[in-house]
Amino acid sequence: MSFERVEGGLQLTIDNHSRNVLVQLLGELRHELVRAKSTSDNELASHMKRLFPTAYHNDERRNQEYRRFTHADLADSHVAAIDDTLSLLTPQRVLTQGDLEQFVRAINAMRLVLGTILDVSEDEANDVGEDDPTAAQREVYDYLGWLLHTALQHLG
Amino acid sequence: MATVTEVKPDDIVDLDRPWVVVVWNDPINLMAYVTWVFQKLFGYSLEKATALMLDVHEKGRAVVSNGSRERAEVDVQRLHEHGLWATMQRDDA
Repeated sequence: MSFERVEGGLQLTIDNHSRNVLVQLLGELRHELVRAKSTSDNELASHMKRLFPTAYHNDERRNQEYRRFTHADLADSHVAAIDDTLSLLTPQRVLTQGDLEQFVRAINAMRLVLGTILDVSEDEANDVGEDDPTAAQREVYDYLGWLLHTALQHLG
Repeated sequence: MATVTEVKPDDIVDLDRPWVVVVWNDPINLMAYVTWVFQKLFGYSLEKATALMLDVHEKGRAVVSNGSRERAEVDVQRLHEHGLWATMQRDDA
């Protein structure tokens, strides 16, 4: 995948394999977000809680009130970023600044969820051997990090 | 017609204390991403956004905005939409 500045925006070039991986992952996250929209905090899957943080520091009463008014909107916002990104993953697509911002948000959300599942830490020793059962997921996690970093270089 | 609104004691005594929005460190968000979010949402310069990001990374947290409770709620929600771990609290300074 690469970005090239052209008239009207950034041209996104993406190979079939990368597109298929992203479409699958984004589709899975979208499905979980739609389900999370009507799920209470206590019933959220642990890896999805990262996309629905608490708002009030040490104030559960206000947290519940805040969540009641914002939870569905937050889920919708994440879903909208994914839907926009899915529509961008076509060959030779030219992205506007707004498109790229949605792309970055969706990739970051996906990376947050995957990183939570993998229990990523800031410890540099996150590398695992090829035999590790999470090796494939960690490869995807690293790819998403590279993708995000690359996209961010074109925002500013 | 006037309406009667329940006012809780803690709302009365703290009216003059602004709310602060705090972003907390997490091991997943990229430093460049956090910097970009601060610039985009708050209009901060690259220098200020980078300094705040480094505070988050090195000190574990940084206050990124302050103001009324309503303003803080809006900022927190926007930060959550961008995947940052943000909370709000009364300014204890």
